[in-house]
Amino acid sequence: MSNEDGPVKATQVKLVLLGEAAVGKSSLVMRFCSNDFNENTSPTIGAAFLTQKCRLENRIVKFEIWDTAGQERFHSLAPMYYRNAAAAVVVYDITKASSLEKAKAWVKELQRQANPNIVIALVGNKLDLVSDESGASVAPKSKPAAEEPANEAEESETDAEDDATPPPPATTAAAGDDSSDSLRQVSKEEADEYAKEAKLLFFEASAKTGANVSELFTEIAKNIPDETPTKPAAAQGQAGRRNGARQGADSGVDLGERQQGKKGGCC
Amino acid sequence: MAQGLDSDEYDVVVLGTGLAESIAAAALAKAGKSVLHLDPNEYYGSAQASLTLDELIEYVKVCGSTHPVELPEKLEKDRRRYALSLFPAVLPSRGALIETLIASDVSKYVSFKMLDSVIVASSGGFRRVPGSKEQIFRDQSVSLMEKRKLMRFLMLSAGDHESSELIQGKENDALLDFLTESIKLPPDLASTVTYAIAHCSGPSDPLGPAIKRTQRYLQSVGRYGSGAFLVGQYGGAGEVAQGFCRACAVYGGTYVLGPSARMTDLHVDDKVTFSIPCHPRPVIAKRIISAPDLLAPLLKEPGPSERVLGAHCIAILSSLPAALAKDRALGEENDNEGIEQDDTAMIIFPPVDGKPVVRGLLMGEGTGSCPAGQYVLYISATVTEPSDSEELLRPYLRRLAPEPIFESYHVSETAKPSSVAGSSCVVGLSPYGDNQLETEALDWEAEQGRAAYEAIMGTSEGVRGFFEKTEGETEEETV
Repeated sequence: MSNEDGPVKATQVKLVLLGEAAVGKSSLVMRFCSNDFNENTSPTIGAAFLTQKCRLENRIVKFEIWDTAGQERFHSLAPMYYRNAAAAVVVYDITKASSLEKAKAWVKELQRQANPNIVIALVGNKLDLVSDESGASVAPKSKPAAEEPANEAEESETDAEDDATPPPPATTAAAGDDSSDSLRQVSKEEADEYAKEAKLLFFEASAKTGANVSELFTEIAKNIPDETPTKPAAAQGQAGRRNGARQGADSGVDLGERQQGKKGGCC
Repeated sequence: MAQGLDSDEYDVVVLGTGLAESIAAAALAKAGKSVLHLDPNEYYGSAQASLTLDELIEYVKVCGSTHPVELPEKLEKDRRRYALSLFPAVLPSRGALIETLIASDVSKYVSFKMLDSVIVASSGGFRRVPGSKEQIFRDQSVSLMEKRKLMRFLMLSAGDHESSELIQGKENDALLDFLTESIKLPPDLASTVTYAIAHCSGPSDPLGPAIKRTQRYLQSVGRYGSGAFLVGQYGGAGEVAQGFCRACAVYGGTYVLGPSARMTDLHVDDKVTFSIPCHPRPVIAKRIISAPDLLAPLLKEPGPSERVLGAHCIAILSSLPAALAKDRALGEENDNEGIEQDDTAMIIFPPVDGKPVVRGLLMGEGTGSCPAGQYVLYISATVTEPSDSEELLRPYLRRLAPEPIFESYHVSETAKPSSVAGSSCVVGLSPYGDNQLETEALDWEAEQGRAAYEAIMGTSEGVRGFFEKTEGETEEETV
């Protein structure tokens, strides 16, 4: 790896969320970005995108997370949504079989529309509703590498276990014992097999308990190539310098505050 | 999908996802209105759409081009990697759209680059047009005397020209005549200023508006870089429209595209009622925003009769046109480390032999318009009567690129501003109907979007302004 001295480099990565309505896309992001869960999230969250850093051993991956804002409902997701996405999280609800079918359709759509090197993770959400499984095998330990909101002083992933915030109780699943089994409509094996076939990362997770959420994003981060050639089109912080060597598609002009106010103005 | 929309009633239904419509939709949703945004097309952007190569080919077929084209086999694999604009235009760095992009924060998810060069064609070849004072001083093809005259005109334009004695009373004279007679520029330089700095559409374009435009373009120089204009990534206008649609959706707007959005039984009286396939019951809205072209047929009214016709060529090149290579350009000083070739350029062909002004816009891989190593070249002209766009434009294409790997031709029809349905429920949007489409139309769209917003919200005291920020909203979303 090209990890020389100097500050740890941060790779900025656009990540898009996809999946049927009400499978918990926004909740997963809320859990990841602010370690929060709200039972009654409205269908849309009011931000264009959220950001969260994920610290790996040798680098930081800064996710710019785009939610669909409901535009997926009537097949009206704009091409710009997929544009330059380096990662996608396709979510289904393990208690709703049809949502996996929908997820498969989204994976196809991604393969058609998106960057061919996109890292896709398939996520079966609402693991908390299936109480007998929400602990051991799928969420072995709490390791909230990325749970602290964007904090430069974060411990690296391997050290994080000791001083991490206590894990969200993993066994507070809502459903009673007898109903829990019947709630599951998608078996882990079935989804896993599909994910292997389609070369996707795969997790079962719970936005409500936090189970597997940071693991999911950490695993995605690890799979992002070190030198991501495609920065998000909207990447901030590269002022519109262009007098030097040409820099490919990522050298946009920052229209906002950081204006260049000088350069050869006429008269 | 079968359950339909969340509601039977909306404050506003917006028909068409062109730039003006999308801006209005986003502003209204942000101000708390419930917005239903419909587009009968499968793609965003309406007349401003950016299409993939296969979509463009389909579009050209459907709009009845006499020159249907097939998808070349060797481009098949990459067909979805193109963003081809139906509305090739550049954006002055100061103007309504830039301000709207910044105010709405949509600037955070669409991106722009500086237009690298403006190039003017003459019988003798091509030359780069100096866009700033610095460049004029460095331009060795212009004599010192001419530089002084040119600077005089630019100072005049940039300054308080309305009170200038030199201009007063001449506002309706042709700019070109003014430049040769009053400024005493030699003909070729006067022509360059007329078409490539003031961006006039013909030899008789009046001085008044031309000098206003020049002023705006000069004021644009230096805001983001050494040029006056920006080009949008991924086809420009269509991508920007998508950005505003996303903003609208983020504020709760509902989007339906394609066949499920095709309106029937539209009635407009004191409210707007219609049916769409994606909803089981009739939908009611207080107001409707649309361009007259889309609305008239739905209301069974005759469409607008006056139209502006545009001839368009979209070509894909496998290399930079030789004429634009920097080592050939006249009076070019190499900056420092080697020659950096243009990725984007506007190429202007002043009118000759009764032909209109023809404008080319070159977009390289840096604009995300095409795969690496290729260029998209748009060539367009406003024409007064239906004409053969291929016959008109092909010679210009050949002059720039003898062997394009793809070329297609089509004609656009834009309705001149007219009103539809005398109901106050209808807010009509006027498409840009003048001749400076490449440099003026994007700002026009932004102004139309704002006008539609204000028509619905009103402008009285206490009404939320266009994309006005609420308290505590300044940096809520991203860090």
